[in-house]
Amino acid sequence: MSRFHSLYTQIQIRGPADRPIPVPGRDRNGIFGPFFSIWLGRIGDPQIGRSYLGWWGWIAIVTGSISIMIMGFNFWAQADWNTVAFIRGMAWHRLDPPTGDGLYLRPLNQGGWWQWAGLLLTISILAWWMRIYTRAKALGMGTHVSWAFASAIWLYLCIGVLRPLIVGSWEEAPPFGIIPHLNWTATFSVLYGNFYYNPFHCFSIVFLYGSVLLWAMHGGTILGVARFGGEREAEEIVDRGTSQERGALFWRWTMGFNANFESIHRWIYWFAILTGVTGGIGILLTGTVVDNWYLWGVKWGLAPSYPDVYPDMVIPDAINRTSLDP
Amino acid sequence: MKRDPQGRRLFLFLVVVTGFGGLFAVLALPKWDRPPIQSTEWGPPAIAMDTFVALNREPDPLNTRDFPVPEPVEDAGVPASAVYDDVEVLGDLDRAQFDRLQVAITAWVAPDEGCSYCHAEGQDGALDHAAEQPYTFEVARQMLRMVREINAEDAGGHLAPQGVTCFTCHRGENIPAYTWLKAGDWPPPEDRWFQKPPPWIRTATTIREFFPREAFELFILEDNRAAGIQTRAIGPGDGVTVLPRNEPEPDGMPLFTRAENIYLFMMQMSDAMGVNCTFCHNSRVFYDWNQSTPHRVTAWYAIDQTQKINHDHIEPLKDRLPPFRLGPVGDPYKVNCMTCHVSKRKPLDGIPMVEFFPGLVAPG
Repeated sequence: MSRFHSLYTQIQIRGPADRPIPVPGRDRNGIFGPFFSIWLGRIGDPQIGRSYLGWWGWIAIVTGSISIMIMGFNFWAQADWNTVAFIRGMAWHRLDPPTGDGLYLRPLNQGGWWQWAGLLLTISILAWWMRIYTRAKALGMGTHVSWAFASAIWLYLCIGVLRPLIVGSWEEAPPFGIIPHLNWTATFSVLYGNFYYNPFHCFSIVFLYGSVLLWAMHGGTILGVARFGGEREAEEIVDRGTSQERGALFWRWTMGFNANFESIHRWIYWFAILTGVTGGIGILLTGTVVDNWYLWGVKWGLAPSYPDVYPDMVIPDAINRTSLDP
Repeated sequence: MKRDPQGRRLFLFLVVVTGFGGLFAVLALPKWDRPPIQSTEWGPPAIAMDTFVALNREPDPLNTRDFPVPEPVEDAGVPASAVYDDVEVLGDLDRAQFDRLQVAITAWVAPDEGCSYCHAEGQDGALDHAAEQPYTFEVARQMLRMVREINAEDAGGHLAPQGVTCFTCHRGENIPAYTWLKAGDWPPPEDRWFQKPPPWIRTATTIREFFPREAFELFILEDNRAAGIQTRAIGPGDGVTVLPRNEPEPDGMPLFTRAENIYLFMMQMSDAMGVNCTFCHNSRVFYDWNQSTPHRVTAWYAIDQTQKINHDHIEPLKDRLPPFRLGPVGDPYKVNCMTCHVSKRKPLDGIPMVEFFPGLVAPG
C-alpha cells in the first residue's frame, strides 16, 4: 500500500530508465545521464537525465556564464585579488550601473561592465525562456510554464531595462550584488516616497502571499485525500471519485465554497503570474507618473492622517536654509 | 533481501539529526536578547512608532566605566595665567580649579600615562613646562577649545543639561573607542579596468566598521544636509518639485547615491543611540517634520554640531598629529554619533557631567 500521507514521501518508484521516444530534437543535443539517485528520488523522480541542452540552452549558458564572470571578476578585483576577502565579502560586493543621463554605452570601468553584464544576463534569461517554450512545443504540451516564467521576466525587464529606457538613465537600475540589490529596494522605496502606498505594490504582495496560501491549501488537500487516490487529480477533474468529493466537501464545510480539481490550478497559476505583472506595472509608474507614493496615498485616502502628538514642537528655523529642504 | 533496501531508517536518522542540529544552531549561535524587552511609543497610538531596549543585553564595557570626578576644591583667588606661563585656553580659570581640571583630564584621557602624556618631562622626572611639548599638548589645547565651545553654544539644547567633557568620548582611552577614518581611495578610472566598489572598510573586524565612511564624510565632515532626497510632489509637474528628476544634486552626487548614503548614515545614527527610525521619524514619510518627534529636532542640531566638531576642530589637527595617529589617507580619527553615545540615547545614560567643571564652558 502506497503511503503519501506523511511529511516526506515514503515510496520510490523505480523502473527501467525512461527511453527516448521520437520527439523533435530529442537527445540530439542531450547531455547528462540517465542515471538513478536514491537520494534525489526522495524528493522527486529518481531518474536524473537525460537532459536536453539545444541551441537555446547553449546561448543561455554561455551568455549567463560570461555575465556572472564579469560580475565575479569585478568583485574579485575590488577585493584586490585577495581570495579570502573575495569570498568573505561575497554578500557585499557590488557592480553599479552607470550614473548620469543617457543610455549610451559607457567605458567598461565606469558602468560599462554593468551594462554588458546586464545585457548578457538578459539575453541569457530570454534564451532560457525560448528553451522552455520550444521544449514544451516539442512535447506537444501547452506553453503555460513559459508564460508564467515570462511574468517574472517582465518584472525583471521593468526594473532593469524598461524603466531606465523611460527615464533615460541607468542610474536607478539595481546594482548586481546580493546585499546591494536588497539595499536598492529600500532606497528606491524611500526615494519615491514609500512604496507601500504604491497600489500595484499592494497588488503584487496580495498575489504573492495569495499564491503561498493557495499552494498550501491545494498541496494540503491533495496530500490529505491521497489515501483515496487523490494524486490522480487530473483524472478526477471529470471522472470524480471519492477523493475529489471529500476534498470538495472539506472546503464547502469549512468555507462554503470550493474550487474544483481543474480550477484550483488556474487560481494558483494566475496568482503567480499576476505577482510579477502587477509588480512590473508598479515599477513603471514610479518616477514617471507618480513621484511620491505617500502623497499619492494621501490624495486618494489611502494614507490616514494621525493626531498631532507634539503640537509644541519647534522646527529649527534653519531647516529652510538650503534649497534641499521644504 | 536487504531489510531496508531504500535506507529509510538512515534517511529518517539524518533528517532528525539535521533538524535538531539546525534548531541548536539557530538557538545557540546568534546573540539573542532575553526578555523583557522594554518598548516605548513615541507617535500617535497604535502605529508602532516604538523603540525597543533589551534590558538584559550585555552592556558595552565603555558604558560601565565610572565618570572620574575629583573632589571639589576652594578657589585659590588667582587665575591660572598668573601662576603658569603659556596658558592659552584656560587662563581665566581660577588656579585651584585649573589644577583640579588637569587632574580630571588626566583621569579621563590618559589614566595610565599620567601628566607626561601631554607635558614634557625634565631630567629629574618632573614636568618641564619650558621644554618642547609633545604633540598631545597642542591637541589637548584644541580639544579643550572644542569642548568649551560646544558646551557654550549648544544650539538646540542637544547637550543640555548633561554637557560634554573629555570623558564623554574618551572614556579613559587616549583615542575614543568608536571613531571613523576616510577610506583609502581607489585608483582613478584610467588606472584600473574594473568598476570602483563602494568604499567598504575591508580591514574591518566588525560589521559596524565595515560600512562605507562616505556618508560620514558627506554629512558630518562636509557641510551637506542629510535631507532632501524624497520628492515632495505626487507626480511630475504637480505642485512643487524640490529637485526635478535626473538633475544632479548641488554637490554633483546622483540622487540615488545620495539616498543610499543617507540611509547608511541614518542606520549608523540609530545604531549609535540604540534606537530605530521611529524614534525621530514617522517612517511612512521620513521628510515630514510635522509627523516627526521632537527627538528629530535635537538630532538635527546634533548633526550640525558633529559636523562642526569634525570640520573645525578635528580635521585641522592632521598637520599636528604624528603619522601613527592618522588613517590611510592621512586624516585624524573623527567622531560620529557612536563616539559619544555608545549605543545609549544619552551618553552614560545622561549622568550630570559638565556641571562639576565650569572651566569646560567657554564664557559668554
